[in-house]
Amino acid sequence: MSIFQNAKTSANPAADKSETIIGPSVKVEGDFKGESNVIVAGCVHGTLITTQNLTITETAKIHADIGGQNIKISGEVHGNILAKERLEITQSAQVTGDIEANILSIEAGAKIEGRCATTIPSENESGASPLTHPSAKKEKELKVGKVA
Amino acid sequence: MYLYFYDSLTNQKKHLAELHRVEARLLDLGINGRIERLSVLKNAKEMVTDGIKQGADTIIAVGNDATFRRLIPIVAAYEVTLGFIPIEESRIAKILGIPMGEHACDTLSRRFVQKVDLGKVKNSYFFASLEFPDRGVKIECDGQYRVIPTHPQSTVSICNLGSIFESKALAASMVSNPCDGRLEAVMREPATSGWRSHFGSSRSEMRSVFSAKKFRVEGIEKDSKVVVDHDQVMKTPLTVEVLPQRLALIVGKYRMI
Repeated sequence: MSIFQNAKTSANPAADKSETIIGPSVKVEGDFKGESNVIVAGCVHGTLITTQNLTITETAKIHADIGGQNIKISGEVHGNILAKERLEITQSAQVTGDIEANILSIEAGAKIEGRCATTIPSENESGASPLTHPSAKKEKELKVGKVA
Repeated sequence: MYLYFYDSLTNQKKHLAELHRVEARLLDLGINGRIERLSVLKNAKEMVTDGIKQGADTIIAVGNDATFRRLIPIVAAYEVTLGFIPIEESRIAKILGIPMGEHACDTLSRRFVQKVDLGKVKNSYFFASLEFPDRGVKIECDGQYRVIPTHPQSTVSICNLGSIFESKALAASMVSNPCDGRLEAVMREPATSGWRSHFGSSRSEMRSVFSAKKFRVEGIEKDSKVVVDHDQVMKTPLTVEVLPQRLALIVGKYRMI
């Protein structure tokens, strides 16, 4: 055994991270409120809110309002979406509902139906230059169809 | 005061020499104590509770994984510390970082105590996991949402540590942190099925994990069987909850938790 090894060897892979995984063969009904990273590959009905990151994979089908710090969507979402930081919608995503995020990224090919708003924090909150964080709230309407 | 609980397997001739070495080492270290030997005429619960009433504050299981598992529900009801001297190959000993036989005595004498969570189900306690071998259960988590596995071959377990008594690699079976004050419901879908399994499909096992403090488990169509820590069998419906920091364990330097 190496002499440089830490005295407490944590071989438990679960000891360092906490994560909720909703697999493709699982259905969740009700109000999910978590404080860990969440990965969704299955079905969700109700609400899905976490204080950490939320990843929705291609196989996911969600009929729920969702919220999280950073959200990445590659699957199907029917419901309103609120990302406190970054919302990334990939090419395979299908979203029906209103979207609100601080930073929004939509890949070409994504299907979105609903209102879309980017909420920028005020200058005294972030301390950043007005160039990178305009004080105004941008809001734009997206019509049904593919985003080019 | 130390109470050493010798399981009935310690009566086997092959373990006698090792036990003599253990007892000599305990004497050298000054941590010898009262010895209780389990036999067909004695009840484990009575032996341990009598010892605790007479002043024992540290209970040491001498035997194998089954011995340790047997003591957990008994000592969980008291403010005592649980130690372990494995005299056979033991998965729990590896997790706790306790070496085999007489070398375990040195770990006991260092007395590094770690408090871990326990799961409680119907007046019983578990350290590792609850397994649901029957298909078709639904789980309600913290009274907020329900989880229903849709794959017919899904296996379900509720883990404080993980399904550590299964034959798979120990590190892979530990899916949960037993010190975080939460339990995890784990649903596994088989890695391969049908003709794919004959051709060695490389698709990895699909797993769902839900963390909560309290679970309510019901069979979807009929009552399902529940195996508690690979030992005791119960029936659904049942409520499972975590008891944070309930058990004080003597652990070694190279523990996995």
